Amino acid sequence: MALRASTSPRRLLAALVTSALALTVAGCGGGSSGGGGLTYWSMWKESEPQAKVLADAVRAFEAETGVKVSVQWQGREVLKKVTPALRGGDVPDLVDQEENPIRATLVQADAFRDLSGVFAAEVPGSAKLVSQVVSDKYLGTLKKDGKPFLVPYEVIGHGLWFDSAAHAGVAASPPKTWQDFTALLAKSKSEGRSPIALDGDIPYYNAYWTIGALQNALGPGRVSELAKDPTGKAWDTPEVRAVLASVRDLSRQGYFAPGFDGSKWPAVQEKWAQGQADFLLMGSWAPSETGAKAKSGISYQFLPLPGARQSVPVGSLGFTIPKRAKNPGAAERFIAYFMKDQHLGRIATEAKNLTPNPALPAPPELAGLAKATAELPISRPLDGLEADYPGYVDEVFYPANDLLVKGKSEVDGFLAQLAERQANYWKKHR
Amino acid sequence: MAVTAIPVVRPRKAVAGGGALARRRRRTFWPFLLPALVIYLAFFIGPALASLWISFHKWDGVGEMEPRGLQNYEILFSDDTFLAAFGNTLLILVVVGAATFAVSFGLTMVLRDMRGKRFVRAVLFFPYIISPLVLSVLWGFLFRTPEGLVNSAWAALTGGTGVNWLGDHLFGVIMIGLIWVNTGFYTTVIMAGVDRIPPDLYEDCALAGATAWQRFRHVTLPLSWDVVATAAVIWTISSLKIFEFIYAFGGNTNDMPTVTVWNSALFVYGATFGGRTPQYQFGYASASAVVTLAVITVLVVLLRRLLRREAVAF
Amino acid sequence: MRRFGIGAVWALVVFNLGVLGWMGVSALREHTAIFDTPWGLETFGQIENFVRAWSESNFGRAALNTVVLVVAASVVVVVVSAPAAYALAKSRTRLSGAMAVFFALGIGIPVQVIVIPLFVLMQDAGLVNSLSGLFVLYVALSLPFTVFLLTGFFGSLPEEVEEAAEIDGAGPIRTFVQIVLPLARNGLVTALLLNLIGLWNETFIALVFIQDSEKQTLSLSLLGFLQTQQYSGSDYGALLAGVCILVLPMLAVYVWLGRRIIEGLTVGAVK
Repeated sequence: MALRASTSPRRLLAALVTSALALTVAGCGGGSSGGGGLTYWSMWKESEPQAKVLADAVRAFEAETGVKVSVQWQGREVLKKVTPALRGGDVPDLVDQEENPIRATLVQADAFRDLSGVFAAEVPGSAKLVSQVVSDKYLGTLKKDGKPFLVPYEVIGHGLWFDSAAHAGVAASPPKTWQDFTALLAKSKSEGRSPIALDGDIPYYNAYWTIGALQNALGPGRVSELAKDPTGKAWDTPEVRAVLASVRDLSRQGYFAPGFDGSKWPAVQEKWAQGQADFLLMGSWAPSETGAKAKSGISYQFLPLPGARQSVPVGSLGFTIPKRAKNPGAAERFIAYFMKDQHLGRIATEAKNLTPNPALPAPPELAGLAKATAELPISRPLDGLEADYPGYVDEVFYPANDLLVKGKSEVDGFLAQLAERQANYWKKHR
Repeated sequence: MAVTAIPVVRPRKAVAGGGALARRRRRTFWPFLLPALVIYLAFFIGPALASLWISFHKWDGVGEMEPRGLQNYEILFSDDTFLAAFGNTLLILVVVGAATFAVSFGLTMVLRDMRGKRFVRAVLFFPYIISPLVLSVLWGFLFRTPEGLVNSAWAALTGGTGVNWLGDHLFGVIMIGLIWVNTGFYTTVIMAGVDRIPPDLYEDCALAGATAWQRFRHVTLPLSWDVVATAAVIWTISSLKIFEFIYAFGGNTNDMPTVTVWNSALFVYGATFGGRTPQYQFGYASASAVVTLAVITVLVVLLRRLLRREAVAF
Repeated sequence: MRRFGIGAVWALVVFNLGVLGWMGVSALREHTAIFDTPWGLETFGQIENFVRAWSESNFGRAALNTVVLVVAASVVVVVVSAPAAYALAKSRTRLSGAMAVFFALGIGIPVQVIVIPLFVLMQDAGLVNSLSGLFVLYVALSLPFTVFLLTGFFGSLPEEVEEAAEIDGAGPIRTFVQIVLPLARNGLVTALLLNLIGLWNETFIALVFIQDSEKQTLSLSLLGFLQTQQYSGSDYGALLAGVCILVLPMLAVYVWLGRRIIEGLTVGAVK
């Protein structure tokens, strides 16, 4: 409030100056767009497949309902535009993004609309409710105080990717335990191949290994508890140490493809797509990100990261509605409308991604992922560290973990650095 | 950035005292200054003061501000992440600054009577006009290990694999890049100062049998001193805001680079908009900016004291 | 020693030109080949990279916006700063010295810190999501540096000319416009060009304040295009082509007027 008070005397002055200056650039002005219809700001750029699917749905929605939709293809930074406007500016009626950034902005500031109404609404022409179309397996983390804040339309699963054309044996009998898996790596290494592709300059790719292994050993949600400890010492248990040692071992055994430490993304991932390395641990964007430039005949296959308590880390991308939206009713109608098979299904067939509706067929590249999400328990990517503790991974986990994965520190060094950084983090985030 | 200007206030013949010209200047002072001053106050100083105010609060940029007194500052001084980032800012200021000035002087001495001087100077200047984002993409291609140009050249020469630049010496690589980008600009500025030294002084030196170092120490440096001093102040202020070149060493355009290479500008971004799950700690980020700005202001004042000398007349 | 120096200088020149050449060449190569042989020439000649970058990132409209916006803002900031810098440079009072430092301080304030208060201010003035609003911000944010730069130039102008004008009976405004400004022409052009370059590459402010895609600037379009590499597939050939589209106009301006920048800096530094 004090901020507003301090700006208001300047308002007149600012208006005077700006109107005087604005005259000099005649022809570039213009206020905000909008009107009676629905304003939708999207995380996609117009040329991307998801944007095409959404744009078609928008056109069909307009034709059927007569509601005018104005779409702005903002791209990935869409929330950087929404956040400043939350305090009093013109917010869009509908936004889409990944769950984490939405949680850090709209949810954290309690500026989201409770979407219970959407889930209770009927998907037009299907005689089913939205809640019956979207698998509730994915919805556990998409609520705050019991109020859903996101309706997912795309699901990203994380795990190992490999070329089943080149590794038919792995596809036939996938490794279930860490021992089986490392035996496989050792065999590949002994045959002169590079077992694992990793772009080590991307810190969360490094973290997928450590946190993935920990999740699979301790069970989902446990890592998140370790990260909550204000002293940072909770990590130092025999169980955790054993997992860390096995992760540390990957580089000691030389399992990572050359260039994993010292090259730049996407160099190593490119090598993998060219068949120069066996496994890539990544989200389900791996096929679409490398697909256009991959070697011919590659057949993408998914394999959940092996471990005793295996789970599939899954994150969602979807729609959200700001609390101050002017036309939330129309936004809710559009969300329900988009859940129709003919639209949502194209997220799978054309955008080559998994949808939250298990009844819709998955694209062939992701068939293994669809099967795994149906059969195994779901966990959160990076066990929710990134989602729940903003800044934690950047300031605490990544710097310590990069050294461990690349073999530049040992388990003791990792634990010491992590404890120190974690204590520092919680000191300022009390 | 740019050159000459204020900080080195050169003592000159007193004009302010009297005379019609001076009187007239006093009359036109405010009308001339006012448009710029109004815009500056409204769009820069106003928001900056608001930020100072915000720095005493906990604020996510959306909800209500929660007063915190000096707590943000207390936390800041024991926050290892901030202290490391601030250390990097100082490292850039001192190491990159010293190296840039040394290289620029070296280039100036070579360029002074070299053929093709204009062309060379123009080419050296050009990294300065290209978006830092682009330069760092290229810098990555040069230094990546094992297939980068630097290591390929090293392998061709010695047969060894060479240093893992990006993996083990990322901040060093960034600093070398910053020296490269800034050298062109400061060479141009310093050359401007050196070019005005009368050539006969160098002839006298040659007659007296002075070495290159003596020439530099007793002629070049003192006679271009005020240009150097001004350039040093400009560097100090602008080195604070170096951002894109470091930022682009993150994996993707959305991602922050590893925390060990953050400077204070990246720290501010990391505490507000940066990262995949941004922190939106505007109060804390404001406090860190206030501290950085305060320290740099002190440094600038000290630097001006230190560098102030009577300009040598010639 | 001297021979070594000259060798080093030419090596640096070759390096800088090589950087430029590499960027241009790679922008015309195919993605996989760039990674396989970063310093080779295979697959050279892929014009499609440019076509893809241009059409997918909506550069056409953005180019027009950017040219109008950046040129207008650079001109206006010089027009506003010149008299102020002149006043600061020529009146040697304690106040003007303090004012000069006050302006210089603005160079050191990171824009990320003032962006939220700035947004509130612009909101009140109804200037969010408008190119006029962005124009005002660009003028304001370029001001400290421009005033700082020009103060140096005006400070280096000889007193005698103005005294002569005074004796001829010219008024203060006429003296400034007809005598001082032409003398400081190099400085003004330098300031104009440096602002042009700086604003051409500016992304953050545009990102926060522009919402409609038809109001995007070039650097914003490029950023959006770079970010589609996440999820939708990476293509370094097209990426570098996009980068070239952004860089080439500035390079052309530099080749055409670069001499002016350098001369301007030189004249300003020498009284």
